[in-house]
Amino acid sequence: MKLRSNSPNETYDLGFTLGSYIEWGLIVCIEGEMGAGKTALSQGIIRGLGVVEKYITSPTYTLVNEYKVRDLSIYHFDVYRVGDYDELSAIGFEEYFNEGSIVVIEWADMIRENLPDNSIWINIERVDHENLREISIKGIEKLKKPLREELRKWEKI
Amino acid sequence: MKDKDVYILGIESSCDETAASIVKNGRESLSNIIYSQIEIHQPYGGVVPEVASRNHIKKIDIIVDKALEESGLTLNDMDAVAVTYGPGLIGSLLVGLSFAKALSYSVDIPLLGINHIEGHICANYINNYHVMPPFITLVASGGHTNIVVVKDYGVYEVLGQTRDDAAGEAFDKISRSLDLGYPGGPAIDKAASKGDSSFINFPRSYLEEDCFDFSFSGLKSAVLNYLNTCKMKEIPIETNNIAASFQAAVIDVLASKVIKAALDTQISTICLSGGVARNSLLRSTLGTMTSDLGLKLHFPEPDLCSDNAAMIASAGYFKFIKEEYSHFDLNAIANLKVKEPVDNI
Repeated sequence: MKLRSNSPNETYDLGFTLGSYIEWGLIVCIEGEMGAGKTALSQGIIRGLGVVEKYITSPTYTLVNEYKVRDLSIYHFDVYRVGDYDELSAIGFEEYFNEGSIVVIEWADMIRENLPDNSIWINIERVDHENLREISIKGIEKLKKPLREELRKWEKI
Repeated sequence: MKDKDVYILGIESSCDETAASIVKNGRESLSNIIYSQIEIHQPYGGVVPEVASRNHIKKIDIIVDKALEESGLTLNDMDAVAVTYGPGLIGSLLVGLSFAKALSYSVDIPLLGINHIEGHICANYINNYHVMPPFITLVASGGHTNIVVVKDYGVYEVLGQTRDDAAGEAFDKISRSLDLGYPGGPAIDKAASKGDSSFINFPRSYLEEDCFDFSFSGLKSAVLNYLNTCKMKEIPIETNNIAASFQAAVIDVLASKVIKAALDTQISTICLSGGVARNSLLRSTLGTMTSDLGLKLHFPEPDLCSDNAAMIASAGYFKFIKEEYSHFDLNAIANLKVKEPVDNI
């Protein structure tokens, strides 16, 4: 599925829609160069999941930020600074994946081969105009039909 | 408490640095050892978390010994051990925290869990007997950008913080995109000193009126968009000018918000802390603004701005005299907030 965003706000809204519909246990892998809008998309997803905490900030420095909705956990990773799966594994990376959590991973392409099958992949690409982004989602069949319908709003015209 | 000198051993291992320090009575640094791991990290263009924590394990024992040796004191002279328990990289934090707990238990002195950001604020007290609350502080580093009112020792109100990237993180990312290397702060500062800050008018994000929050992602995108356009149109990249223009955009916002915080709260002293407090433009801009307004400006010595353990020991002192000790079950908290209380005995 190929979608299009005209601004960071639209990227955030797309994320919010995703977050409002996705089911617990899913892993959302985001790839795209620096400034593509990975954090904006993640912030949308996390808000869409129902996180009310005031600040949802970049996890570049902390590696992972954790949020709670009821007793469910949302883990927001940025693996750029690690880049190597063995390093991540050493801090118990796999333990974050379970049925009661959603894991959102920025720079996921750096550890592509090691990520489980129940992942969807979102690639954000810069095109032509400086704020225009092409957003492709792989693994769309893992999303429920109502969400797929909602996402059509962002389909390329 | 005043009749006896208080010696606190401080330990810090929340990110890059393994550090230990002995501080007397909260303000006099007797030793301040920082084992900078920056050389190891440089090939990766950023801090590598697990490389960091593994190195902390190798170095912490040596660093603590060196801090004691340099102070001329022994472990038995220590009144308490203060340690960072958050925020930071969980693996790195655990190394320092576990080490501190073991020391506290074996020597039978209190354990003091310290918030890293509170530590940065307390860096202003070290080797300085004049700075005392109330004051406004800007804590700006790789992981944090906060404006905090320090109402009293250990009493804080956070007025605002970043909504996306931290100021130091923005410096790191733009430095990387300009091929200026890591850490980004000093690299940008140096390049900017040779550049023209009016070269490009990058956007300043002040957010809503009366808001003390920050946002640097829009600025980051603007710089990256500009670099992209240059590449596509084959315009040569004027690194120094871009660095200067970017730096001016960050500093304008930081400076104006911290000044507004002082004026709004009618507090006449501003203290800077965190690695970004070393930025020469931030210092000179605020220097001029504060003297025009009759405000006082203070910043810690350069070595005390970036991560260090003297600031942790100083923060520990103010907890020690209030007997705010921590339990042995104190856990490392990666996303610890400034106001989150330490579990007291």
